[in-house]
Order: sequence, then structure tokens, then C-alpha cells
Amino acid sequence: MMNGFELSMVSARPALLAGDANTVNVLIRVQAPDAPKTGLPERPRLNLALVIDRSGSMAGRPLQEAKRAASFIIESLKATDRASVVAYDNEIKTVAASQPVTDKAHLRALIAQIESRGCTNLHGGWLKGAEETANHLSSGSTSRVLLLSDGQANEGLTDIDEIATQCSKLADKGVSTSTYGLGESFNEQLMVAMARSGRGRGYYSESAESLMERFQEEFALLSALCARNVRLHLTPMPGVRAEILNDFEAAPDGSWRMPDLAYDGEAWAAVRLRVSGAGLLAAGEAFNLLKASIAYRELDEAESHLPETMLTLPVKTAQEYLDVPEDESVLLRISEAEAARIQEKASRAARRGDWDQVEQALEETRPMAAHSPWLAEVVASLESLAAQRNQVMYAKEAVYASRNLSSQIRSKHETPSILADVSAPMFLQRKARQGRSSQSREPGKPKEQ
Amino acid sequence: MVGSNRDKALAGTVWTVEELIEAAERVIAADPVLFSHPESETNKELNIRLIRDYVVREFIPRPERVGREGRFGLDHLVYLLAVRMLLRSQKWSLPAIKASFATTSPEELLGGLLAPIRDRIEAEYWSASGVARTQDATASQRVRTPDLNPAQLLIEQFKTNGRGASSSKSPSKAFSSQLADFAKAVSCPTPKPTAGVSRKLHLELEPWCEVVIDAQRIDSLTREEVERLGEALKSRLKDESAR
Repeated sequence: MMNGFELSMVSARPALLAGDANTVNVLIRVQAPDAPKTGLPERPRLNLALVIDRSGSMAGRPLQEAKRAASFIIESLKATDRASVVAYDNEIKTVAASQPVTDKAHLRALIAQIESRGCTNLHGGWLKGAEETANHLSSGSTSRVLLLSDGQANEGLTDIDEIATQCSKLADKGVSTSTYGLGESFNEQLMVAMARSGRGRGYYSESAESLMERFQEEFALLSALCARNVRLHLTPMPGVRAEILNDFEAAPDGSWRMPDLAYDGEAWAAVRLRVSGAGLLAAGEAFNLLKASIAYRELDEAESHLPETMLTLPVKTAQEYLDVPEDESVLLRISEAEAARIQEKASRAARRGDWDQVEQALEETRPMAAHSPWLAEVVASLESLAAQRNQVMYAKEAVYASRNLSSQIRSKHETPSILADVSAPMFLQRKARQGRSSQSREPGKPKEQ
Repeated sequence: MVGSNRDKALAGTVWTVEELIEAAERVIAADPVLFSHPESETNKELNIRLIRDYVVREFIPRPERVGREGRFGLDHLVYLLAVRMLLRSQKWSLPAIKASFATTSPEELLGGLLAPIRDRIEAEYWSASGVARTQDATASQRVRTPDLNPAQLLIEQFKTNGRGASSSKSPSKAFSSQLADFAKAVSCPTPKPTAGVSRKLHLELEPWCEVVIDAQRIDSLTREEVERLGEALKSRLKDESAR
């Protein structure tokens, strides 16, 4: 087992109130090792498929930027990595079959020849990329499809649930999926669902100009990965009910799938416990509430576990209980996870133009932002879009903000201020505006026309 | 023990008894929690004697005889894993298992109790036999696609799935299909080591109507429960609209 992984559990108020039912908010952290000071160890081999939308709507700048980003990925790969390039509209074209990246100039030239045309067979393009990747699966390498689209899937299979299910099944077999939505017309529900189920990352760019940054972020993440397939097992003790607030998928064995871990990062879960049985707890006792354990896969495919941890809290009288201070870092994550749920719903409300519900969601979210400067900035961005009655962009911003608030890995050394993130790797930075580059962080500023 | 459903064997035989045990052990090792007894640390090992015992008790069909050797197939593996799961993590009694198996086909077990590990079970079979199932073929109609890894096999299935799929799907249709998906899952509750830990899932039936359910509970919904839910929803909506 690689040393340096840690599992910890902390409650917002580390105490229980005697003689009463209790609600306890808990933060579970799974921390990766620090990045070695001498630099990251050699990253695992990558086996990537770059799947590029070449439908008519991509004509001009979007396709240019997509090709530039794809060329960047090719340029960043090593000769021991593999890459394929697939372009799709209503037809699927394998621009470059999966091959070792030994002739970068040739691959870049093939990418440069991609031209826009036709409709959007998104599923077909993804599947072709997945096939290219699956043909060269090997242990110890990271296999991923990077799917870019600016439009709605309108050819081939288009059912979101079915496509997401396929992404999930394929991720089980070792091929993950990251998605890149570009512009205003792509289907954010589909792209987020594919990334979530495909156990990759979901990115979106309001403009082609910020697309490159998303690819750089993904590449930095892939280079710093140190644990995959991280699963959290929770066992509430008798008399305790637990609710997980993050948007995690349940694995068949009942565990929760957390994001892959990179050096310096932490995956986390916000859990709400309800301890029933008034009169059950007497002051002076200690009460076991929740058992947690972590399983994950190391990069060489070895299965590892972190030792089981039990959350035990002392039971206190009312006065003693009130004297125990609350842990701000726990309240912050609880607020962010709850806000994520509300904004996920608000995204759908915005999509159908139900501004009353959007305003209500913002109303519910504002007080939560008191604990989280990041959330405050996210809310400010969303308020700006709501004020403009910008249905399309609110829906996108809210759903991606929701996803990032709920399940993005965080810096182990995170402080509430997001300004401190500047020195962190890109994939650990918290963005105020999900669809823009990290440089444009002024909240509330309308999109340049 | 012979039941009408049970007679629907899945496919040909590919394993000796030792190989069957090895295949079962690999599946169990990948998801040990599904096969562990909640009150017992030790997991009784599979061995030839135990397999014989299961055959005698008619939990597992008799093996096919090839000369002096017994040969086992996918249905044997399915029944073996089902017995282990029911005995260990679900704490069923032997008579209850016997009664249940009399009317349950291997395909029903794969689609129900064993659904969470179906892929792994079938991969064992494919790996042993070098055959893969196409999406539309029944289990007994398998085609040869040797040397494909599990991801490639899955993609072959998806290709068949995706062909000609319709893109128009009304919200109410989506809901029916979601309910159908719930119903297909299980006839027995799958073990949940995290029982008591929930996550809320919001199902938008129409833009103006949303159902909030426990995401993990879906996995253990029976068809009867789904039907009851549907009826309850209908009756509640009628009551509300009559006010």
C-alpha cells in the first residue's frame, strides 16, 4: 500500500446532547499523500481517445480551438502513451486509430484536417473513442475518452439514462469518460451525466477561448493521479440513520464511489446522522455513531484499503453541549453539498423558464454562503445570470457548479478563501464561474457581448 | 428438484469441478461483502465436497458427464453463487432456498439476485468458453468472438443497443421506463452493508411533478412494490385533483 493516505471523520459539533434525539453533521475526508518535493513520480501510461464534435455548429472558432486543445494533448503525451482521434457528426470518422505517440507531427497534421459538417451522433462518436481505447487496455495505464461537444445529441442513441449507463459499465471495465461542453447549445444534463457515470471529469467552456484551459486541467489531473476507484463504506451504528449529501453513485456492494485522488488532494463526503431514541443518551457516556472505511485501487491496479475508522462522540448536558464550538470547516462542506443539491434542481427549473423556483433556490442558497466564500462567489455568478433571465447559461452554470461543489477533489491545505487556490494545481482550484477561465473570477459580471 | 423455470439452462458446459470452484472464488473475491455472513468473520471455503453436497441437495443441477469427468456450465455457477449469497449474507434457510430455486431460472437469478455481479459472472463464462453473447441473442444462442477483453465485449453490446434507438421520449414514458428498470432488478433484496445510509434521488416526472426517493432503496424494490407505488401515486393524484 502506498503510504500517506489518510481517512478521518469529524463532526460539526463534537458532542451529543443528552436525553434527546440528535442531528449530527459529519465530514469524512480521504486525503492523498503530499506531492513529493522532488517532483511527481512518473505518471502511469495514458491510453486516450480524443473525440471531437465536427458538426456544422462547430464551424469556425470552436473547431479551431478544439483542434488546438487536441493538439496540446498530443504534444503533452509521451512515446509510451497511446492516443486515438475520432471526429463525429452524423458520421463517425476515426481520424487516427489508437497508436503509440511516437510521431506527434503526423497526429497533429491529421487533427488539422478535421472539417465541420453534418448533425451530432454524440453516442456514436463516444463509442468509437471507447472502442479505440478498449482495444489497448493494459494494467497500469489510465484509459479515458475525452469527449468534446457543442451540441445536442440528435443522431444515433440519444437517451441520457442509457448513455450514462453505458459510460458507467465501461468505467467498470477500465475505460473512463470525461466530457467537455462548449458554448450555449450543448446538453449539460447529458454531458454531466456521462462524466459522473463515466468516472471522469465534466468541464464546460462558455467560449472556445477557455477550452484549452480545461484540457490542461484534465491533463494535470491525469498526471497527478495516485488512487482510482475510491469507494467509501459507511456503517451506521444501531439507533443511527445516515444520509450522504454528496452526489455520489452507489456501487453494487453498497459503497459510495468517490472521485479519483491526486497528490495533495482530498476526496470528501458530507454525511448527516440522525440519532434517535430520546432518553437513550446519558451525559458522561460516549456513543459510537458511524463506522467508515475506504477501498481504492492503486495505479498498478493493486487493491488497497484504509483502516476502518469509528466516529465516537461524548454525550453532554445541554449547557456543556452549547459550550462546544462548531467546526467551521465542517459547516463549510455541509453548506456546499446542500447548496449543490438545491442548484441541481434550480438548473432544471431554469431550463424550463421557471424563474420563481430559481429565485427560491437562490434564496435558500444565500444563507449557506455565509460559511463558504466559494459558495458566495458561485451564488453571485448565478444571481447575475438569474437577473439577466439567461435560461441557457443559468442551467449550465448551476449544474456544473452543483457537480463541482459536491464532488470536486479539494486541496488538503484548503483555506476558506479561494484566492489562496492560485498556487494549487488547476484541478484543485475552485472556480466562481464554472464556464470561464480561472482568470475571470469577478462575480456578477455579465458575459462580454 | 425440477421446476419449469429451472429447466431453462443457460449454456453449454465449460468447467471441471475444480475450475468451477476457481471461477466462483474469483467472483466472490471481487465482491466479498456480498457473500459474507454479517455475524461471522470466516467464509466457508468452496471445495469439491461442498459442490457434491449441493448437487445431492439439488441446489445445483447435475453436471454433464464427459467420460468419467463431470462438466459444469454457466447455470451451475449461477446457482452456486446464488446459494452462497443467500446462505451467507441473506441468512436464508436451506429449505427456503430449495423452494425458491424450484421456480427460478438461472436467467432470472442473473437478472435479479445476482444482477450487481452479472457482468463478472458472465465474463468468467466467456473467458472459459471464448464465446460472447450478443445483445439480442438468448443465452443459449451465443456467438464466437474470441480474445475480446471485457470492455470490448461491452462495446460490442452497446453497438447493437445503439443502433436505431429512438431519441423521442416523453417525460411520462421516461418515468415508466425508470419504474420498469426498478422492477427488473430483484426478486430478493440485495445485501447492503451500508443499510441505513441513504441518498435522495429526485425523479422529475413532468416539469411540474417530482418524486423524491431513496436512491439505494431502488436497488431492492420488488416488482410488486413498484406496482403498489404506481397505484398509490395514481390514487393520491386523483384525490388531490378532486379537491
